Amino acid sequence: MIRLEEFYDNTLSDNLMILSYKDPRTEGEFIKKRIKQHPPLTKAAQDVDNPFKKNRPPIKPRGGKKTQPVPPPQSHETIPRLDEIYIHCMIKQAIHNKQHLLSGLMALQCITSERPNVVYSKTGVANWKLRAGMPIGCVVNIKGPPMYTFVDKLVEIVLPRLKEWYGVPLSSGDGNGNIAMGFPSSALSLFPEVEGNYDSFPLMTGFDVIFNTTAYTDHEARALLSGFQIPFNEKKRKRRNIRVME
Amino acid sequence: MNASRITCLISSINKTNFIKHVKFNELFINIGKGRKPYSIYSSLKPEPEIREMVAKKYRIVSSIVLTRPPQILRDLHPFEKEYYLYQQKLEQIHSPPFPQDFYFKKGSIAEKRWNKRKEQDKKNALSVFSEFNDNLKDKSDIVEGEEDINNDNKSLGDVEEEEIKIASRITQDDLNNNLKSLNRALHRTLYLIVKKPRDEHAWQFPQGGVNNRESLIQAAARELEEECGNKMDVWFVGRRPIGCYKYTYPKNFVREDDKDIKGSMVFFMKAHIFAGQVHVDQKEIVDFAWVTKQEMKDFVTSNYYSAVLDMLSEF
Repeated sequence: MIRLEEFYDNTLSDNLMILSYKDPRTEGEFIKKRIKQHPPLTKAAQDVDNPFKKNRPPIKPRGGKKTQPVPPPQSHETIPRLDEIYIHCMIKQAIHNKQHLLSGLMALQCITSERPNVVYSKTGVANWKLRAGMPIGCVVNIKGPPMYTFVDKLVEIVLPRLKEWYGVPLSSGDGNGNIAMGFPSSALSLFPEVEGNYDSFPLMTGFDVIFNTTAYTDHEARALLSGFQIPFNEKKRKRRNIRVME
Repeated sequence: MNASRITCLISSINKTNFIKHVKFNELFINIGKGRKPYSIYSSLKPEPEIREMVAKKYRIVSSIVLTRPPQILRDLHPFEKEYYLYQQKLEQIHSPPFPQDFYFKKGSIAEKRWNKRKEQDKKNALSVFSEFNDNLKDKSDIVEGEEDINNDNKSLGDVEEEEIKIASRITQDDLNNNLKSLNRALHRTLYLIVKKPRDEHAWQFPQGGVNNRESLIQAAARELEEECGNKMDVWFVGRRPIGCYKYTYPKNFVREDDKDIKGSMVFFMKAHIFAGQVHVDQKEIVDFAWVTKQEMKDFVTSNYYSAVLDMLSEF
């Protein structure tokens, strides 16, 4: 049994259902707004009797703008839930010496108990002497019990001991309920697995933690994460257009 | 900006930009006097008298469901217990080999202690599977052969490691059945119910009428402070009610102030308690209790219980 998982089932999910409830009118408006972003289908795609459409996949709508997912009607199954976590670190020193990657790989494995994958660069950057296809970082994906154990460790042991850190900025989030945060290399050394064996790691790296939730807005995802005691910094909001008075 | 400039602005008002100028002018005045915007209008309006909210001949009532969430993990069913134990041991056996060289320096005390723990864990894990029992006997012989190392570890372990004492899941208040304590039934959610000085429908969640000048949440907070004192740290979960209970007054019951009212509509607001305790005023409330969902059935009437049943947590 995992402590945080039990806490979510007993207490947090009940509260999130109340907090994220939208009345039918607000929900309808929100869904309409999301659907509106999807560009209309072309005439050829709308035509059902078109012989060209037979046995072919549906034609994609025009336009390069990314569309946001449309949420299903809300029910007890749509309560925001922590889905998975990606922990990622880029190691700049690996450009010159691939051996530096090993330190990052081992550190991620220690703190998550899962085997990380190596990330290869997609494009080259001439200024950094980085070519496409070079190993540059590592990433690990955790779900289920290891994920909740990681959040527990992060919240109870690492975050309270961080210096000069005022919480996750409110500007974080991709608009669809996924929230990412970055930590300096000093945070990695605060994990108990790394701290007890600090001398074995030749290189400490900073790392990013990406929380993927089933929420459809950042607001709901933030409510979920703050339920797990992750602090948010209210001063760092997204910049909005300031209304100029005439 | 000075007064002459304002008069200049006002003089240039015409129909199209009237609203714009008024807003600007007002903002300017208010900043100067350190007041909130629109305060000049509120001072002109007569303040509405405070009276109880009534909708369609039903009195609007706000009630607070004050909860204390579980403090410890729930009790496991014996089958669940077996399942988790089996899974844990299965995982121990099938886990990839531990990189011992990475974590421990060769010949260190920590390494010796680790080796000892490992042997013990393996023995415990293997004992689940009957087919491994024969292998286990052979291994236990080997362990006995290395007695001198074990003895060393024992003497070292006693000095450095302190034993962790696990507190009991059952507290003193559980044994005394002290329903007024928050330190009871740690694995369950507790709810506050209060007793009114009357014979029927005495036990209820704290509740009270909503005024025409306040919201449901404000009314709930006010009622809680009036009835149960202000020595509690309370957090409301959202501004929306989590349930509604509509009932009509019995025929012989007539309210003195308003005879038209047929009954009440109770809206339940959820809140958490973090610290503090209830202090009853002996007027409206005479007694209180912190109870679980199942215990609540003995206190409240069956109609009331069936109305609030689905809002309460099973854990």
